[in-house]
Amino acid sequence: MKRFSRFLVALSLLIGGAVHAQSVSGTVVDEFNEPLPSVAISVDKGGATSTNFNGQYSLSLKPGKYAITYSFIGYEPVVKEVEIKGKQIINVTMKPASNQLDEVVVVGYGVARKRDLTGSVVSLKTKELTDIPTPSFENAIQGKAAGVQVITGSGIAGSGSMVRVRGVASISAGGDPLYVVDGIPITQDYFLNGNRGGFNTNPLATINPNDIESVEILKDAAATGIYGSRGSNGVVLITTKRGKSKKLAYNFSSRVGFSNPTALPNMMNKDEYLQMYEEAWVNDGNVGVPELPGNRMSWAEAQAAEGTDWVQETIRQGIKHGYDFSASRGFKGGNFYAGLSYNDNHSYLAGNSYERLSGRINADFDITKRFKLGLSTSVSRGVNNRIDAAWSGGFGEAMSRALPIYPIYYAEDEYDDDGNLVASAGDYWLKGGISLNPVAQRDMKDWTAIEDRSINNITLNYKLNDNWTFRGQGAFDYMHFEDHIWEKPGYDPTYKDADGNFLGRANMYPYSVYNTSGNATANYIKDLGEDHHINWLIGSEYQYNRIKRWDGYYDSEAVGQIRETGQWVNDPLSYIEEYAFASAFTRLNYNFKGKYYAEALIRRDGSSKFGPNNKYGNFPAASVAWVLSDEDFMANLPAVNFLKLKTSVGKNGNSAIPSYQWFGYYNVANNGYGGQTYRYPVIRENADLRWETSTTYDVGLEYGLFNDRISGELAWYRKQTNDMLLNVTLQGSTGFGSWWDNVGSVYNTGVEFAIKSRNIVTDNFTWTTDFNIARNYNQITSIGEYSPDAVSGGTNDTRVVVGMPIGTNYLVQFSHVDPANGLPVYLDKEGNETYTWDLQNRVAVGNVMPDAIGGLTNTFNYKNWEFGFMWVFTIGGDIYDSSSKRQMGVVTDWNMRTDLFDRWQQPGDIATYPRLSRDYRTYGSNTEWINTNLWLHDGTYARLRNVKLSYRVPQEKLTKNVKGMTVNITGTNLITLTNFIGLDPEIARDFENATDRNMSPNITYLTPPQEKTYNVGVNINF
Amino acid sequence: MNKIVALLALVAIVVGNSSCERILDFKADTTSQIPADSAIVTIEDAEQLLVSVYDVAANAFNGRFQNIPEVMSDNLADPLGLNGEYAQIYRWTSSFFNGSFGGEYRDAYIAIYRANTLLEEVADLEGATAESIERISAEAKFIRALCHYHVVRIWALPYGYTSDNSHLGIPLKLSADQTPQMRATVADVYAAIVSDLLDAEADLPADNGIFADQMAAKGLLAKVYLEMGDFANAKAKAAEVIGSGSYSLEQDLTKRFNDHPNTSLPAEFIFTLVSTNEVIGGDTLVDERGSGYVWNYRSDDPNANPALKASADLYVAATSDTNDLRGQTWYDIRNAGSADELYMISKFDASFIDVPLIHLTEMYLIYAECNVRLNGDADGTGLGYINDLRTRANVASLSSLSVSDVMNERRLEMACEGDRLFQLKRQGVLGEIQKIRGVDWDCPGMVLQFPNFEGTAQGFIYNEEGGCE
Repeated sequence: MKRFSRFLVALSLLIGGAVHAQSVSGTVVDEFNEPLPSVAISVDKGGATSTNFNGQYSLSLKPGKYAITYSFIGYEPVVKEVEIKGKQIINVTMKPASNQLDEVVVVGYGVARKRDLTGSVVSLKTKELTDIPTPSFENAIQGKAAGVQVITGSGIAGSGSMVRVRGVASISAGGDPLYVVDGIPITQDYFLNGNRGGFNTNPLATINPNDIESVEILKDAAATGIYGSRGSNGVVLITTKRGKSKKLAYNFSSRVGFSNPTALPNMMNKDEYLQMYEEAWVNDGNVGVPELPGNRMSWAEAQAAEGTDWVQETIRQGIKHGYDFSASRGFKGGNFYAGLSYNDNHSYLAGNSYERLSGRINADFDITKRFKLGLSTSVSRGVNNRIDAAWSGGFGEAMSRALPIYPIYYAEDEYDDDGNLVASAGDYWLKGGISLNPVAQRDMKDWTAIEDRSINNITLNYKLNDNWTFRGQGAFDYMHFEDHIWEKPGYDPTYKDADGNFLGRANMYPYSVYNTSGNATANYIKDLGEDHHINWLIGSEYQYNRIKRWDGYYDSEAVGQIRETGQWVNDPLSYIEEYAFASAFTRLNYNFKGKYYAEALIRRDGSSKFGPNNKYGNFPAASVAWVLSDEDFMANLPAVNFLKLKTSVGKNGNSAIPSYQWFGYYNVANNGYGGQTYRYPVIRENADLRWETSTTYDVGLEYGLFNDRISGELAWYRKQTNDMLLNVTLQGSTGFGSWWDNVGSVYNTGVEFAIKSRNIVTDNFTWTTDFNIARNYNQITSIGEYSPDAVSGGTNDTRVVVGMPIGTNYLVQFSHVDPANGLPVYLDKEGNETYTWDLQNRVAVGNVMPDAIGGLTNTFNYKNWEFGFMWVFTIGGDIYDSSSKRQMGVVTDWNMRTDLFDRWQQPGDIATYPRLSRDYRTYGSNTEWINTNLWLHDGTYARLRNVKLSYRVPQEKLTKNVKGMTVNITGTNLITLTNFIGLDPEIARDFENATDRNMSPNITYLTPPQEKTYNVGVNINF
Repeated sequence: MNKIVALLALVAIVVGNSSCERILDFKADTTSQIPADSAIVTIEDAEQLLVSVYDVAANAFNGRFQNIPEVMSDNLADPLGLNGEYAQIYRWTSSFFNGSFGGEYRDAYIAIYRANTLLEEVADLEGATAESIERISAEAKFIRALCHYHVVRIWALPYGYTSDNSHLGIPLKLSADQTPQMRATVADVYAAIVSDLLDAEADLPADNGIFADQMAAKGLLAKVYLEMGDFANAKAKAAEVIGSGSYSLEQDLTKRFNDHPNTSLPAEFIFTLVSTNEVIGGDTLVDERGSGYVWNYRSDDPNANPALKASADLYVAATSDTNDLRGQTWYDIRNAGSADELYMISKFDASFIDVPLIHLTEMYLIYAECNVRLNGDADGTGLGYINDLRTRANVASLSSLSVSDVMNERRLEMACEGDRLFQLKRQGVLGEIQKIRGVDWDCPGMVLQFPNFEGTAQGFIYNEEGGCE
């Protein structure tokens, strides 16, 4: 230690001592001549500084020749080669980056030049995140980052997307990437509100996309390794905007649009339904007048009925509008950004809207020259006017049990058998209960979900000297959610007071999440001589998360008060769920001559979620990169201006499981058998419960050709995941239901290719093409001693099968319809034809994971005009149209789809669907829910995700105060090319839990399709 | 130098952070939850765990368990409609997604797991005495045997289906060990059941309140031996129970399944799972332990449309003698003479019924059948018991006794108690019948398919599916 310190002292003397230094100073400005603060300035032979809020800097350098590099996030770095003789002023103008390789990007606990990265990182800036009107920022990533699959959620307002980075490596633990906002891992649980009403609340929806400066997606172990136990599914870093401009600058943008569903279900109308129903009735050998489901109507009444198109009754034209206003500036000793945003999205589903009001203030203060304070705070409120969807009602019911023969209202007064009036003409028709009348259900149920969110952090930055920087950050992420449901009197006709008057029912389901975290880092940057550059980071982090839930249900007595005040009448029971992470990490970056790079890191994480035997885990990663284009031997390949080869290996974890799962416990309860107190085991202890770990290898090649006219990246990876966290259904004879266990393994392997080509670049016209494609394959290699049935998705339609990918459709094979008798012919396990549908004949017939995904974007600029469009595509992968087994299977109490017209009617018919029947035994089944691959479809599609035309109003046409103005029109999801016979081929349905979310994308069950939108927008800077 | 100190301090903080156990130690915050490792420490804890063994067994045997075989037998009418699990098993087409019967199956094994925990831990507990260890162990074995016995009868082909009983039975759980378990042979399962019951018989107290006592073990042994075709032992055990003098026939047939009495149970009940409906500390404790029966059969409301109704076959058998009180008391015809004539079962028309799992009537029936089979009822004792039952039912006494006489009596006495299917299968094994409701008595659908969660262990062998038609 002593020797080391002596060495340091000697070194500092050498650098800071005897030589007569000369001063270099200047101002750095942006393309609008505005000073740029915080520009990083480095000198090739050692020395670094940054600009102050006025864009000014100074350096002390010995006489000699230097190359001084100026870099700033989102701007093209500038290198000035100068010969210093005396005092010198060097002013620099920086332009926004067009060369991705020299961009500065955000990485875990720091920033780096993209050129210097050894890991795989995709960076998206404001423009790319807001060019498409999406309520939630992650939707905008789709098609823009190779290897990042984004499945946009359903058409329900406020729904979230599903993001998968390089495939899916988890089964029961959350498969979503870790989301980090300004350095803070935020609350990102999709299941805090369960699946109430057929909808998972999107925890990212309250983040305003317009507040985001950049989103970085960390893909490989070199990049995610610093997030250790939580990085195995990738990391998404979100950086919010900070003030830059010296003068006070305002921005206002607004967008107005309307929406329609991308597809409509082809449900039968009244006459078609009755015809098909009667055919089934006759086929089954019945005689006489058919009896309709539930006997709610006689056959004659049904025939005389006007008929209702329930789909049209549950949709409308959606309308959306949004307004963003921000102000920002840099001032003496700091900067600020303040944003205010309002967004109101009325989806095409009648009664459904999502409204978001959000505000943000980010500010930085230079307390002393070395000591900086950063503050960020955001407050938002999301108000979701909910409707029942999918299996829960509404549009879902219009596709299922709301039969076209049913009316919305009684046409005449209705009497019971005793002659008592039960309903008057014009009252809602509720013979089948509220759920069979989606219009009544929507009208008689007020449902509002309110989510308040505030993400705050404070950062202290202390720059001890040119080498050492210390940083401390504390954060508080608060979320409070309340579901308010009011069922009006009459909603439940059985719920009455003593006098027979209908009663209403109020329900409220609240929860709060308190997510606090803090981290401290020390960063040491040192150049040893001219060629050796060291950047060493060491830090620690602690996160404590607390969820408080309240028992939700309230009966009529409380109605008045809950409705009027939103307050509880009595304090309901509440439950606390807590977890914590404590971590230490270090990372060492070394580069030699800016040509050879190496990085090594390790993170040690402890988590309360894991058993005492395995509470801590170590997660190392190492990576190297080599800029080949700087080698002499590349000089004779002038077309290649940049070429970098990189490779990494590392270990990551996943810990996204509920708290307390290792913990075994007993309950004690009173009044058991015989009125006695009793105790019993509830959960088995699993003291060995530990992280799911992934070991990832990858190789990447970054290239730039023809002076970066063509640039991009090619990558290969293999991720081996072991000790998968599985919520395993235990063998019933163990006496327990399920538990969390580390079981088995899966690997993901894939290739990614991205290319950006500036096809035409002239003064007035440019044409740029971005294309990326990624193929991922995953395979489960072991599930220990469990069988495929041990892990079921919530929907039960996909299975965990060794040797097959996650999300394998494990179904009985449907062969064909026998032309002789119209019966379905299945295949048994050996492929022999059989009329019997037997679950034991299930085989792996498909899987929901696509073979390849990608995006293609073309952008044309002509003078002040810009036109761009983006296609996204998915190749391969199967869609399981789960609801069609009832819409097109045995004739039950569901309406049917017109596809069923192609059914067997008489001997000799070659038909897709078997003879109609109301009796599942006709189909050789012992249940009416017959899962077969008849409902499995190719999931390939291409979609025109976005088209945008914008016009920048020329400066001379603007008043003096307006610095810039752009108007645009956009359309989303205008064209979808697919062979899928159902609704929307891009499906993220409502999920029951994380297992379901991992295993059952592309499973649709009455899922509302996405929306098609048309928008007009304006953006003004002043 | 300061830098170095700062750095060291930082490292110390970092390391300190990550090695502090306390900040990572969170457990569910409720007072009713006790960590598993400290839950069973004293003998009082064991007594509470024992209550939970009865508690979960009483849930399974509240009628739900008994209804399964009854629906598969010839005693009930087709449950209306095409759907529902009862309709599936009525047609002998159960599949392993048959969720609700998975519940009964699981409950039985939960009781077995808890019993095994008691057996493994009771000897080492604070305050354990020789008496408490012996009694708790005996009760645990009794319930373990009861649950294994009921599961093996429903989920496996009967004893005797193969000559050495090497056909597959059910997972046999004789320890609290959690490793996956494949199916044991029927021979092994019955051997374990008999062994448990013999131990229980030896160690259970003569009187044990609402819990299992010595006579309960003897009574269950009689049933098990009968199932195994061991008529000598079955007769012997039935005779011991009858001869104990502790039990006498309840003459009022409405009391077989009656509202929970506030006084005492009928004198013929040997082992009963009781409901509770009484005031404890000012609060009325209402605890229904017969709802599986009540909710599926109850028909005293004129508009009731219960899922389960008698078959015409059973109704005719029970009412062909119009004097027969069993027919008069336990059945109720609706829409008589019309096409949709229905036969309601009024045996369970009460709210808080107690469920007698073993009663003296059955001991009489076992004794009588065995005596006929062993020696043609040479001494007439079997006939005497059957005539006691017939007298109670107000029908004429028989003058001689055959096996089919006993089986007919048994059907009428124990209708809808979950007994009929097993007697038919037993007769199938003996070659005395071939068909149940027109299909082979041993066709695949006559055993229930295992629930899918049982097959979560690799290599588990399901029952054959494919129904019976």
